[in-house]
Amino acid sequence: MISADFYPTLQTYADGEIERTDVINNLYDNTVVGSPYYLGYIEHDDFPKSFGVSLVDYARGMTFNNIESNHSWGYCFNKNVYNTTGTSPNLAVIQDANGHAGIDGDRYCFLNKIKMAQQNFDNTVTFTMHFMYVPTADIDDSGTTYFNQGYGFASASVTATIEQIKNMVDGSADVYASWTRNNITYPALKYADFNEYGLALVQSNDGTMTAAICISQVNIGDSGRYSYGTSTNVRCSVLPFFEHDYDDKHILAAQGTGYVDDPTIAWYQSLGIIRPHTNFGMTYDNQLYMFAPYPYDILTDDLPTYNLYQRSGLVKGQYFLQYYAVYSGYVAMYAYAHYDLKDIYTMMLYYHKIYTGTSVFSKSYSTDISVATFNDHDGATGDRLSDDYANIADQLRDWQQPDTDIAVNEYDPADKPEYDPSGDDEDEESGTRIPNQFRYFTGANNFISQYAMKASQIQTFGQMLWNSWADSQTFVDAVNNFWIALNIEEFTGSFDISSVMNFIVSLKVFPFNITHFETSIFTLTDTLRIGRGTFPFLFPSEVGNIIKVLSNIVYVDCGLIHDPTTGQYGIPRKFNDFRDYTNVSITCFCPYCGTVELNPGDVVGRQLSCKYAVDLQSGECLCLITVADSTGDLYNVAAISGNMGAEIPVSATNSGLIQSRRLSDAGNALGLFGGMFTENMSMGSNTFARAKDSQSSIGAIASATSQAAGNLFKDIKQTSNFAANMLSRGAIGCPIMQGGSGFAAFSQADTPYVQIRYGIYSEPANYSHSVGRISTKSDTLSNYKDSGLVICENVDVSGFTCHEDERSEIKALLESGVYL
Amino acid sequence: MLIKFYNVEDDNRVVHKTLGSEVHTINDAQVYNSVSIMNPQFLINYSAYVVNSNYLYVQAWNRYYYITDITAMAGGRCVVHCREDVLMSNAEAIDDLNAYVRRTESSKVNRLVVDSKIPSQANRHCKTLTFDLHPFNATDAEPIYFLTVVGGVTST
Repeated sequence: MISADFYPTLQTYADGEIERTDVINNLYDNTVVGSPYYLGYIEHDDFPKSFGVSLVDYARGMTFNNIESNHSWGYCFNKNVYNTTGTSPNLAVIQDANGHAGIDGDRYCFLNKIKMAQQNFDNTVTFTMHFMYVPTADIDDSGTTYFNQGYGFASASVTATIEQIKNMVDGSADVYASWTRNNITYPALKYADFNEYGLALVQSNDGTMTAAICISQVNIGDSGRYSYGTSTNVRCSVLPFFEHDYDDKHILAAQGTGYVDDPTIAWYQSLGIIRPHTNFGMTYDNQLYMFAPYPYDILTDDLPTYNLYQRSGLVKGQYFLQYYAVYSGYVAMYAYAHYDLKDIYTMMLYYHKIYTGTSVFSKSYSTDISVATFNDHDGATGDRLSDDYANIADQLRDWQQPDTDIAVNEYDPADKPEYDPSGDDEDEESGTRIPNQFRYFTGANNFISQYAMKASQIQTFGQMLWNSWADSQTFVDAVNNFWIALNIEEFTGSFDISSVMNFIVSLKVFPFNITHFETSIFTLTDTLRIGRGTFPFLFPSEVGNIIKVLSNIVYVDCGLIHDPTTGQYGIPRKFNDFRDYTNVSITCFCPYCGTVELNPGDVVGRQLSCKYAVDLQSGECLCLITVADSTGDLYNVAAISGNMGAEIPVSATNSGLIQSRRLSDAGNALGLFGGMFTENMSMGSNTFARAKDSQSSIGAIASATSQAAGNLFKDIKQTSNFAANMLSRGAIGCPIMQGGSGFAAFSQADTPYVQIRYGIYSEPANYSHSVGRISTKSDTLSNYKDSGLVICENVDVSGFTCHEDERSEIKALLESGVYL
Repeated sequence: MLIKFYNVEDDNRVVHKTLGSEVHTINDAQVYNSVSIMNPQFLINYSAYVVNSNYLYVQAWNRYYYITDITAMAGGRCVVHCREDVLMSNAEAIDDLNAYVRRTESSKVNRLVVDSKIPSQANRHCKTLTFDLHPFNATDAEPIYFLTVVGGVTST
C-alpha cells in the first residue's frame, strides 16, 4: 500500500490551485524541474479494445465538438498540419469555439476543453487531462493560454476493470522473438496473454485498475500557484503521435516549411503519409519520445523509419517506447526497444532510482487519492492475476519505498517507540566501506576450455569418448560432419583415446542448475573441443547444446532472507529494543562453507542477502553475506569459503587419488558412495587394463571401457540423484562437510539459513509502571506530567523554598520514584 | 486555623494527588503541643468526618498532610496526627524542576540502552529464516557437470 508515494497528496485549495512548492516537493528527486511553465497529468478511465483496422479510418470517424474556451490543456502543432478540409484526414484539425486552433506563428496551438466524441471504440474511453498552468498576460481574448516555451510532459494512464484489460489483450497471442537494428538484438514484445504480461495496475477503491505511464521533463515556473485546468474529457484511445523535426526526409517533404525546434507534444497526421496511427508521445528539441500501442503484425528492423509506420491492424494494448536522437541532458531510455506497459512502467521507476540529475521521469499526479491504492493482487480480481503481475506489483511497491526503508521486518514502523533524541537508534558509522567486487575471470584462456553440461550431456560425451569410432557410426558421422562443415576433408586420422584423456583436466559436479549462470559468461555450442581442436565432439541435437563457459567464476544468488510463514523479508526485530541486539546470537549457515556468526548490530532490521562466488575449475566457493545500508548500498557482513565441486574420476589414473580424497571426506557415513565408485572404477580400470594388456584392437578397448564409462556416467546420474534426494531432505543440523570436495558435502542442508536465538524475558505486565524503562534524558519534569512513574537521579533541589528536611525528603522521593 | 479535610486514594508517591471534593472544612483547629511542621498534631472537635478523612490541607502553612492517626480525647475532642506530603506541598516546584530522568513509565525512553532489570531466562527462543532462492535445492536444480580440458580453442 503505497498510495501516497505514487500519487502524492497535493495541497489543494478551494480554487483548485496547488502551491508550486507542493508540486515540486512531490516530484521524484531526479525530476528535472526547470522553467517554464507547467505540469500536467492525464487520466483516462477506460481503454479501447481496438482502434479499428486502420488509423486513417479511425481518424475519419473523428468529430471534434464541444470545444470550450477554458484553457485547460494544449498541444502544439504546426500550422501546416492545420487542415480542416480536404480529402486527406488530418488529426490536427482541432479548434476552439472561437475558431482559434492555436495557430499562432506556426508555433503553438493551445487547445481548449475538448471532447472528442463519436469515435468507434469498442469500449468507452475517456482521457481526463489536467494541466496545471500559470496564467499569464498572454491570455488572449479567446481565452487561450499561451506558454512562452514548449514543454516536455507526457503522461497517460489507463483505467479499466481487470476484465476490460483482459479483453484488451485477448487474442493478441502473437509473440515476437526479437528484432535487430544496427546489429543489436532487442527483446521483443511477448504478449501471449494477459496472464503472462499484464499491465502494471493500480487498483482503486472502486475496483477499477489503473495503469499509468509518465514520461516527463517537468517544467515548473518559478513562482505562483498552479491551477488545475478544468478537467477535460477526451474520448479517444491513445493520442496520436506528433513527429516534430524528427526525420527530414520523411516529414519535411510532406510538411513543407514551418517546423520549429521548440519542444512540442501533439498529434499529427501528415498528408499523404500514413504515420503512426495511435501513438502517444512527445518531442523535445530533436528528440522523440513515443509511447505507442503498436500493431502486432510485424516489427521491422528499421525503426523508426517510414516503413515502421506503414503498419495497420488492431491494436491490442501493446506498447513500445522509443526515443530518438538523444542529446545531452537526457537519459537515453531505450533505443528503439519496445516494451509492454508493464515494462515501461517498471523501467520508469527503475530509471528514477538509478539516475541522478537527468531523469526524465516524474510522478504521476492525481487529485483522487482513492485511485492511489496500490494493491498487490488480492481481492476480487486477485485470482485472475498472475504471478508476473504479483511480482511486478511487488517490485513497484518496493521501488517506491524510500531508499531508507531498507529494513523490512514484522513491525510497523509506526509502532516504533519514541526514542530519546540524545540517543541514536541507528549504528553510527564512519569511514569508507569497500563494496563487493563481483568480477568475472576468464579462465577459458588459450590453454584451457571449460564446458558445462547436464547429466544427459555428460553421458553422451562419455559415450562419444569410450565408444570405438569403428563401432560408433554416430560418432564417426559426427566427427566427419564437423570437418565437412568446416569445408575440410573428411577426418581420417587415428583416434587415440589416451590422447583425449590426457587433455581432460577435471570433471566436477556442482549442486546447482545451469540456469543460475549469468548468460553473459557462456555461449551455447554443439561442439566440445579438446586439445588443439583435433577432437571435436559434435553433440547430437537431441541432447541439446552444451555450454562453453567464458569465466572461471559464476555467481549463485541465494536471494534474500525470508520468513516463509509470514512472507516478510529481513532480519526481524522481535522486541524493538536493546534485546534485539544483546543476549541474542545470529548464525548463518552457508551450505558447502559452514556457519558464520553475524553481528546483530549489523543485520537486525535489515535485509540480508547471500550470494556465492563459485570457481568452477577448482570447486572452491566464497559465500558472501551482505546487507543493505541506509543508502541502499550493499556491504559485507560476513564471508566464508568452502568447496562445492565434487570431482568425478574420468580416468584410471586419477581415480585412485579422487577416491582416496572422497573417502576421506565422506568417511564411513557415506561409504555407499565410496563403494559404488570404487567398484565402478575398479571394474572400469581393470577392464581397461586387461584390454590394453591384451594388445587387442582399439575396438576391444573401447568395448570394454565403454562398459566402464557407461557405468561411470550412469552412476554419475545415480549419484546425483542420490545427492539430490539427500538435498531434498534438507538435513538441517547434519555435520557440515566444510571444504569437502566429495559427494558427501551434498548431504548437508541445501539452503542457506539464519538461526536467531533470542533471549526469553519474563517481563511482568506492569513492568513499566512498577520499574520503569530506561531514559537517557534530562528534562523538565512537567513534561512527564500524567505519564506515570519517573525516577530521577542525583536531583538538584536548589531553588526550592521549603525547609531543609522537606527538601531532603523531596530529593529522596524523586530518586526513589514518584508518579507525576 | 483553617483546615480542609479530604479523602485521598492516590499512592503517597503521586505528586499531584487527586483531592476530590472536600470532606469538611473547619477554622477552629489548634496546634496540639509543640510539634514539627512536618509532623504536626491538631486538636479539633471530634466528628464523624474526621475518621472518614485521610488527608488535609492547612491553609495557613500552605501544606498538605497525610493523616497518620487520630487520638480520641475526653470532652468530645480528638487529636489528629499528621505527616507532611512534601510532594503535593511542593508540586509546582517539582514540575518546574529540571532533572535527569533515569527511568520512566512514559514513552520517552531509550529502548536501545540495556535494561538489566528485565528478568531474563536462561533458555532461548530460536527462529530460523531461510533465503528465498534455493539454487542448491535438488527439486529446483539439476546438478551441473563442469569439464575442464586442455586447449580446445576454436580453430581460426
